[in-house]
Amino acid sequence: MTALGAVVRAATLSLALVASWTPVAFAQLRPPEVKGLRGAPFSSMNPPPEVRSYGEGPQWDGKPPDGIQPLAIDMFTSKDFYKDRALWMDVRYWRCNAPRQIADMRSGGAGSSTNDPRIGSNPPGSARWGDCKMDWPRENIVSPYRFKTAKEHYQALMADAKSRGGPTRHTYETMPKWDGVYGEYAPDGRRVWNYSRANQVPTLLSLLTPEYQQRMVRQIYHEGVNAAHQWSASYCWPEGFMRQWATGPKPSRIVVTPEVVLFMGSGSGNMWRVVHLGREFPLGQGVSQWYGDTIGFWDGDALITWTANIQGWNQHSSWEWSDRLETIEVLTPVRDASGKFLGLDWEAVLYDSEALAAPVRILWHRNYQQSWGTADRLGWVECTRPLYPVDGYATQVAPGQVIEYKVPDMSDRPWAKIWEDNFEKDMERPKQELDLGFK
Amino acid sequence: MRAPENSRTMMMRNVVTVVMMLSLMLLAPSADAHHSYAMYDGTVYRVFTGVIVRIVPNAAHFEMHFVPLNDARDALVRDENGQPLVWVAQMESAAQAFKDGVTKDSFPQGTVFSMGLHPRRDGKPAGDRGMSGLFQCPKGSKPEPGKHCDSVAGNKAFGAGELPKEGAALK
Repeated sequence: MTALGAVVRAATLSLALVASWTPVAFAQLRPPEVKGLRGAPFSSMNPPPEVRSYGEGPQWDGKPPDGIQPLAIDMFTSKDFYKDRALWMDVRYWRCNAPRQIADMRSGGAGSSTNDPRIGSNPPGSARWGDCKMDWPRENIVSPYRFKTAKEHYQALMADAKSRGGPTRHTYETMPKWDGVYGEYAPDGRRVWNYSRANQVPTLLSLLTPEYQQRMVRQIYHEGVNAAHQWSASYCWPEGFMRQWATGPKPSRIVVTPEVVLFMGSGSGNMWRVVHLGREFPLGQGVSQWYGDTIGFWDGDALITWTANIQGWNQHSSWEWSDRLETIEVLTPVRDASGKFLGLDWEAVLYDSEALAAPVRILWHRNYQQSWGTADRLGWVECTRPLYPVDGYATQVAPGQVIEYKVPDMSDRPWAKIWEDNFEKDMERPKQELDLGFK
Repeated sequence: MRAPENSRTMMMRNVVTVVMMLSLMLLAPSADAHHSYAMYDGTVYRVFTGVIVRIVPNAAHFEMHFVPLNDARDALVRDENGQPLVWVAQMESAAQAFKDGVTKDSFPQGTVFSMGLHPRRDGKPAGDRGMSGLFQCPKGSKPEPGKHCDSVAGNKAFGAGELPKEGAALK
């Protein structure tokens, strides 16, 4: 009786906590809207779902969900995904798995193993299906704003701020007190769409231009079928700009001064972004930067930034971006009813005329956790090579072991060259010969 | 005993050259060293006319990746597999390169240019620019067989210096 009472009390307390917490948390993903410029609400289903396995256990190896007619050929039975272009936009080609599910077919997720891998007992044909009914609406991802370029968007935000007497010029006394340590708000473990867990593959492909669709398909295929993951951190390659909205190093620390705002973090690498307040581009020589160049201004207590000059690169299990990627980011403080600072609603609109079919948006929330004064130190990671590409696989190599190593061309998508050399000899890859104007 | 006039002139030229080089070194933008240059044979220049594959401005030292043209200047030099043989030219600091106008925009893929390199001692396809001049052929043009871009009308120099002679770097 006592034990039962304890359970009931615990359950009641849990429900009460959930009930009291949920409304606040949901509110955090709803920054104040300035119509047509920032803070537009999602059309539906907020936060995103997570595409889950349809069935667990060996009995589900290769077995489709009820009512789903499998394709005659899909990515797990195909020998050449290039030939299957007409099937890429059919969820069944991917067995309804989200990209990250495909990446994790043989593991329990990054850095963890499982005794029941979803690739099944006879890979790759035995790969399990995801839930074909789960997907986050494309309308929630495509930018809700009318702008074609980041520059247009920034100028419109600036004009709006000016119309209300801005931009705000903060001093040390008046500037927002955001300094501190932040975490990621992930309700029920659900994360923003760029983690590639919330969508069917075709939904994400629909956001990309044809060339970048092919690049993403190529990545998903080689991760899922060949288990040939070329993750940047495996080789101590740079993580790149978009990885801050996935499993890469995130802006976990913030420093605010009247001249600059710093976003910093470390993990599988380091991220370090400097918002130059009141400045114009260019901020330096025209050399692409891994985290771009950022200018910005305050509109009251909201920080509005424009980042350009970003190095094109790759994020595993997802889409590549080009040197043309630019972002508009709006950071808005969230407070509870008492005025206590809870964190930041962080809206990022991504413009990339080469990679993206249309601008897209990521809206996430960074929870304020504690001050710099109480937190552990912020470490700086210097990556020492953990893995080497051996026969196309990221492989641990013991000290003293001698391997053959082909030097990658870091300026020419080295991950793609590894796949080309090791896994695509019998495929009909569209020719992309180097044309220098001489025979 | 006075030195002959031509010897004195030569000596003065040498002194002036040394003073100018020291001045340039002192005035040049500072660049942190990222590696030793011992891998290059500084006593030798090889002079190339080649085609740009890409500029790599964010390397520790600015790099130009190029494929040399053959002596007839009508085809790329290729490796034993028939693939274009890419050379890596180690340049000065990115700051100095930008000061000289060398950028991704001024040297797009397909640009024909000429430059001397201190080659790697092991014969692998890479080298250090040293004090070589850098000349770009006008778009759509190439040098006559055996010649370089500095011989093409309308060529453009990037930074100071002339093309060295093939062979010994020191006279």
